[in-house]
Amino acid sequence: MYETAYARPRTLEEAVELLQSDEDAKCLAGGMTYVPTLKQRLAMPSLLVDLSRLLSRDIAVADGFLTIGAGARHVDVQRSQIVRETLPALAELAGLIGDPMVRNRGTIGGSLSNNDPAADYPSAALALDAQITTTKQQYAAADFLSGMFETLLDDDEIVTHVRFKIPVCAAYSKFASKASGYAVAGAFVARFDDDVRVAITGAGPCVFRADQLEEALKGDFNVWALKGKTIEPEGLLSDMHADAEYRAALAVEMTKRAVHQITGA
Amino acid sequence: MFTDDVKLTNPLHVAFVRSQIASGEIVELETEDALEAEGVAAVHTGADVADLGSLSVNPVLPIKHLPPFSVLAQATVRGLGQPVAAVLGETALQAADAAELVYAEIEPTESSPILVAEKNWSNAQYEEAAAKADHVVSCTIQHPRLAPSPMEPRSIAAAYDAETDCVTVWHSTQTPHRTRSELAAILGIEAKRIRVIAPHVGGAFGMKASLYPEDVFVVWAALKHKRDVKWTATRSEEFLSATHGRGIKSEGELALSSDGTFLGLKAMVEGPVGAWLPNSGLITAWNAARVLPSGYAVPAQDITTQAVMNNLGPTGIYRGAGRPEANCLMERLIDKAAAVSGIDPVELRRKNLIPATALPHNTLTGNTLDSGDYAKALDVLCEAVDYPALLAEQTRCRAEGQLVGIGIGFYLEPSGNGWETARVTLNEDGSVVVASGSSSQGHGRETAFAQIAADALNIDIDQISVLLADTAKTPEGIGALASRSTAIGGSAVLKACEEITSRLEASEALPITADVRYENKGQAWGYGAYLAQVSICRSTGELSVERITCVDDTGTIVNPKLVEGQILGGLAQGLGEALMESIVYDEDGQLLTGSFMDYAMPRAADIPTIDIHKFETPSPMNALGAKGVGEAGTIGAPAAILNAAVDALRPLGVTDLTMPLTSQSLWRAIRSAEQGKS
Repeated sequence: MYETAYARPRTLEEAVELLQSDEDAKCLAGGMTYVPTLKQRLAMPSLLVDLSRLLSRDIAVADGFLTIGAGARHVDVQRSQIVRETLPALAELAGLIGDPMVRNRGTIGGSLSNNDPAADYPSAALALDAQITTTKQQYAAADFLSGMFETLLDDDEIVTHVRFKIPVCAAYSKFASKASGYAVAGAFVARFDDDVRVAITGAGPCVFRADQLEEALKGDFNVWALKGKTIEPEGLLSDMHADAEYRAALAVEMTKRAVHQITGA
Repeated sequence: MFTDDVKLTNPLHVAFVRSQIASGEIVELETEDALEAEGVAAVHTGADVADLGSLSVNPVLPIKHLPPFSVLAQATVRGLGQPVAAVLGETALQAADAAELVYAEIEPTESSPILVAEKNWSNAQYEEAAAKADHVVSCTIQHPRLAPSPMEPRSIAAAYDAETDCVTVWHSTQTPHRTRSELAAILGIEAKRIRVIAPHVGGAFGMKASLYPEDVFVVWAALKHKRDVKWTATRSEEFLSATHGRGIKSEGELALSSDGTFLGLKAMVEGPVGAWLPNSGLITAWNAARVLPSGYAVPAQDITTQAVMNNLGPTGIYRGAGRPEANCLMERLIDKAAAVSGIDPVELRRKNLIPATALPHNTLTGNTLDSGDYAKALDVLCEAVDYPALLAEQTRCRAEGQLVGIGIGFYLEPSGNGWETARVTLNEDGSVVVASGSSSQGHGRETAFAQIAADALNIDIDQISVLLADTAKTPEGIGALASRSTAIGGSAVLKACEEITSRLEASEALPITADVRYENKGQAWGYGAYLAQVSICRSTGELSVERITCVDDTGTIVNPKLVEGQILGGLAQGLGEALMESIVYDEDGQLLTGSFMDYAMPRAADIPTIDIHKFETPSPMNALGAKGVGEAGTIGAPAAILNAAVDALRPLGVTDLTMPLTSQSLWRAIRSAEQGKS
């Protein structure tokens, strides 16, 4: 990596000030994406603002919502009794991220702020209509996760909490890359009293909702309802690991598996 | 202690500036900015090392055109990642920062493949045999290019001694004595000025059997600047510039009569080599041809192999080194022959394997198959898996619409030829020191050699210490490669111990030292048969290997645990080739798989249930009777898995698949087969 300055502020206000003081400053939470980027000399920040001991790791339930502090490690979510009881699909998703080393360091806030098109959390955020709270304001996940590695975050803005709407039931199914473990395609299916939401990660440049699959499942929440339903490959990612057509097929298949996990048939 | 852990005195660190163009002419190389950077001691380019000699290349094939060996590129760049300049910095970070300040303008040039070496073995009857055959089957196998990826990357540390003007070199290598002799030859200095130590080596797999241009530069720089110098490759540099394995394309045709008797084999092997060749640069293309037609009797043969230079990364031996390629071609051809003739694949193999009574057998390609009972490997395998029950179960699963396959891979594994040394000393206090010219990279060689000596001298194993991989303390030797160390190095230890015993009996006083240079009578040929059971998911193409059953005859076994470890490790790497590993370049010759984010290595969870069975037929070729086993798994597993995958999709009409068997490629094969039908 290149030589860089490092700061560990004690408060969020201090962190924001540091970010404002230097336009090439970058904040760091678990560092599970950014540290490898630095090691490969693919980024040259002038200042690293370490948030890892600063952000809340609290997990709480109130009024039909599950709120998780942005500093919660994947392992915190995976093992949280509260998450396991109220939103077990999210605990399972967290347990599928990376490997134990990554889960011990990586944070939910970092993952959503990075918005990797193949990351797991964005699918849960979109399917569970999450509210993302930052040092400046609140966003709906659908707005916040705006594009490939893009969010609505300003350079001096930090995610502090994520609030998920608790569904009747939900499941996540992921087809992981043999190399990286990231989703080649992953589907988070959430069933609410009056709605069904299906969010697909990995397949496109940014997490998206599969409208046709949602419509079919609203009519009949069953694997059979998805028979013959497809996702349009146009606009999906194509690379040496998987082309758009294959990703589209995998996204439908992962949706079926998630529904199957819920219905058990 | 690994090489990177060696504490040097105020060493210089090397960072290489590498070509980002595969083929081109250097029009400008601007080093001034780098030289002025903080902490930079020197920047070197091709001109500084133009007079150095070349690495020797083992001429197992007749060489037509040998690409030049350049420590730093001269006027021409011939391979992606080739070092064009080197920066020596007081710290690794300063060297890396300054390397980015070197401006290299390289004008891309068109390049075409160059034939480096070629050989044909033919008894001129193949066309005749094919003409009278009832069936002729053919196939082409393009092996993926693989990154050997030992956990420890390349690393070298040179300590300069001003008093003697000598260097001590710690090198992560399989062949410390070769490092010394090659360095002496390339640098044009006396070998006695170089001491080479291979400390703990974190895996090698053939990738560390030779010197690299980067290694030569480090030692040259230490002597030039009269300072300690070190370099450890990054993982990215390993993907780009360490030797790759496989990448071979083999095409074959097998002619047989209606009763299944093999009549003739025609094979064409093409092996890629890079901008420069390591010592064993031609071994892979040679093995991929000369191990044909494996353990089968085939009257008419026409086998050609070529080593062809291209401008991708360098290639070299990688665990198996041509053996998987030869066996894979044969085993695929046999499964295709079984499919067209309607003969059971096991039966067809058994019918054509060279019988035990016909061994030793001289092959057209110049080998002597030494000993064993090849068909017995199949018999033991069929009994171990209950083959008839397995077939019945497959029929049942297929009736339910499942895609399940059974694949068999018989294999031969020739192990190295030649000599190795041992120096055994029996001290007055009863302790024994075994020094060997061979080396160890986690094989457990120290245990095996101590066991051999303990048995031969009839003393407790705790009395024995083993010395390896230090040219100042061990006799000159070859090193650990070609699955040769136990068979040849172990035999040398045995012979030295026998000499001590007879000198003791002649009442010689202690200490007694026996120096032995043991040469084997010829290659020992391990062999075996593997069976893979796989299932493939119709909707995702995902392949699961349910179970692999192995039968290996590795000759006399010194230590069963170590043999099992070799089989398991080799099998994991064979599974990697079969299912996921592949180096990929784009159309412009740029490397796409530059990290483990894109290059898939098997993890522990990818390894299926493995059953290992073995029996022992001693080899008459060495004193121990041992055969090689280091490469067994990498040879047997890909052939068995590939055959099983094709077998799984056979009901859909699929006849050929290409490794790695990724889920996407299988999904596509299933889809096109199903669309073709509808």
